[in-house]
Amino acid sequence: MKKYLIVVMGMVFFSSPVFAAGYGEAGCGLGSLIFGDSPGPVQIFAATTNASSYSQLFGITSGTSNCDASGIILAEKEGDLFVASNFDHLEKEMAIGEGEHVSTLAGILGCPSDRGAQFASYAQNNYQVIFASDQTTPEEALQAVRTGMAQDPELSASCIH
Amino acid sequence: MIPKLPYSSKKFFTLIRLKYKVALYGLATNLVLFIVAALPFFNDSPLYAQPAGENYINRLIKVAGEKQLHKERMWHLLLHYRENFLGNTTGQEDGPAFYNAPDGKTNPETELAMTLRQFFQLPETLNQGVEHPQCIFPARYKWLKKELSFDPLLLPEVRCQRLESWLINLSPEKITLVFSSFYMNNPASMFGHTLLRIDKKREEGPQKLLNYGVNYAATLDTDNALLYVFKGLFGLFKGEFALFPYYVKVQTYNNLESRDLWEYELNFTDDQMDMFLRHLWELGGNYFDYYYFQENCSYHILSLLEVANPELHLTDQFFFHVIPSDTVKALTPYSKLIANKVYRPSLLSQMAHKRTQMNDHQEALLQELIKDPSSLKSEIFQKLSTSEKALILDAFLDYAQYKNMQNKNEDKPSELIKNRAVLIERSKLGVRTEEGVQTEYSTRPELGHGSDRLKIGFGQHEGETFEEIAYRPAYHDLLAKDTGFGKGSQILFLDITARYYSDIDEFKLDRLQLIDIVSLTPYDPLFKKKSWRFAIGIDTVKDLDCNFCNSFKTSYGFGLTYKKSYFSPFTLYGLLNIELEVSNDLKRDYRAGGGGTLGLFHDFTENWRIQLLGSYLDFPLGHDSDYYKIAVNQRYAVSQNSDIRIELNQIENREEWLFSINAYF
Repeated sequence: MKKYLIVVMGMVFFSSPVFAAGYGEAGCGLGSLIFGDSPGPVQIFAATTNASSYSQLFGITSGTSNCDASGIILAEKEGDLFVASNFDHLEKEMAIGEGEHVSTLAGILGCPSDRGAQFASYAQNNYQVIFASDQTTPEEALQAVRTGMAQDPELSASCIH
Repeated sequence: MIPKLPYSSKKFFTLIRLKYKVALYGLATNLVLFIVAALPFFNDSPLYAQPAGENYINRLIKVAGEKQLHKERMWHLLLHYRENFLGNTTGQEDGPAFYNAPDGKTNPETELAMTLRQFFQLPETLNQGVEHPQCIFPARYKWLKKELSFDPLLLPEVRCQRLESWLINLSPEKITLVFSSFYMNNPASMFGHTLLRIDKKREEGPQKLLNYGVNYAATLDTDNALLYVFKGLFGLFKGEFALFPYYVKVQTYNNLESRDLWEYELNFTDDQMDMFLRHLWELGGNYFDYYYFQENCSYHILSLLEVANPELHLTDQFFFHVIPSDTVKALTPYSKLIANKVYRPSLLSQMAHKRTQMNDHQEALLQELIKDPSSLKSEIFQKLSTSEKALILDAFLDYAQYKNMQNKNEDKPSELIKNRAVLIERSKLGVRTEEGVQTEYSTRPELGHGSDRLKIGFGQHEGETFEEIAYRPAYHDLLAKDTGFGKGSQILFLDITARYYSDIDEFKLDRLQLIDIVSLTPYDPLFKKKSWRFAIGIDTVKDLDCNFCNSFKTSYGFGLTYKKSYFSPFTLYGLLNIELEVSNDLKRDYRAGGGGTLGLFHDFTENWRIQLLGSYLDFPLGHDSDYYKIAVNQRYAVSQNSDIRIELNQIENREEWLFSINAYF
């Protein structure tokens, strides 16, 4: 019977957030980012918007370390958040040596758009350095990328970081 | 020189405090508030400014009255006023702080006057952490400023720092409507979902994933399925806007649920996009009651676009319900609105595209690899060329990512696919794969037929002629053309059919399908999805002589579907059914049993489909009976929104034919 109810519910809500990650991935908000033992990529973003007053437009309150006062992700946190939220995608695209996520990361790390492919091959060639074990965390992987880029003469010349 | 506006009266603070009480205590304080709020209109002492300011407020209100600004479409859009069928205006926004005047929700004119008055509030009188009204309602401010040419000497403009930094951070280059389509084995998802994306101007070129998505959804506060339905029906959930990085949405829809996304890049001027964002800011801290039929995600997304460009009439045409695919259809009449359409394939569509390029041998190796990732080291795999290996490993990695996301989401860590060895092997190949242009595994929603259907037909049942009329508000049946919908899926909702039998001069309710859902997912050894059907409603008992008596019927079936490939025109399926029928005309008032259905359909052309069905049902419980049924149905789609059908059926020895014309809208 429960199965039927779920089907009916699906009809009722037209959209699927009911089933999936829920409405929880608000982007910013209380307890926004959990590194390490994150329960899964879509659950990275925790609380929903807190819309209790006008001083909290789009739910940004104190205690949110990743966003500015108007709810935009801070530039210096963008890389951390992006890698943590798209970790499995990046893992795959870096092994394959191309993809939108890996070129987006290149952009976050200051590479001009025409260097995206070069960054992707760098990641492919250094795959086992970036993902040293199957326990590698997003933070560690990003740190390894940053270190590796600094040592790579071409990338360090063309990308800002 | 900006005149300093002294602010002495305590009355204003009383007003402010009362306003917050209203927010807290609701109706009880409304009356008090009304009296206090009305004071400025009768009292000589200035509440908002010195006499010069008070004069200017009154002058602006007078000019606004002369220009009839409160009747302007823009004002009604900004305040979300709707006229009901009695001609009364009511605001749809349900947050307590959205309307300034005590009767602002129902009176556009007093709301406009009160809004103007609020803009004069002195910043130093604000409580800590409370934004100035000019910063809370920046879209209203912008519009009224333009319409009334505010004099900055008499109405000082307040700096809104948070708003300004927000606008700069978003600096849109364009706005994109994103439609999330069907996902496998879930017909309910055919309704889709819509959101907007704010595409930022960036020096380094577009970074689509980093843009912000604007989502409108119900804030769910219960896990109880029945409560979900009840609250959704009666507007008891709060619907709120939220901003997300787009990659979060891509993760949810494109990857986890594996739904293709269609992105419609829209043409708006910079000024229109500025208005859009300012209005979004106004809505950010507020909420609407969420009604799934009228005020759902699609509806409010469209109303935002109307604020950007009031010449668009997108929500007018929605009377009864809004289905997300209708959102896209609402845009298509405006030929210059859609600049570009982009297909973003889901993870499984990307995998499917790779599999279409494999030969049988490669496909077998892929399946072997999925069964046992260590077969990577096998001699047979190692003998492949680099490009063959890359193709198979890429497809494997799509699959592993999909499965692992599912497993993590369902909290099954033990079932995670260990793909590290494959990732390393793939990185060592050091090549990229030439995969060619991605195949589109879904069709654009605006190409599909309308969701309402009206059917008119005539036919004969055992020699008795009848005329038939049927209507349903949603959504898609198996025989209809499936462009714009999921293949092999059906959702019927409140589908009612009546017949007039002229020989006996009687109207009969033939069927009322409350819900009839079919999901025919072709069997794939990698995914092992079952096909199923669930239906509940009123039907006519046609295997017995009871003068077309009605029964209440519910049935459930499950089974398998075969299809050679995704685009193959031929589909074969078999289902095992259980069924319960309740009717006064049955012995013991019911019968229960089960049976099987074998069906196939074939598309001769894009527009012409034939469906063959055979089923047998046996009812050992209640009224002891059994019957078989065969049906041969054909449909020819004359246009996007019309088709003709010929349906032949035989139940036991009773034959029936029906010719019908169907209009979708």
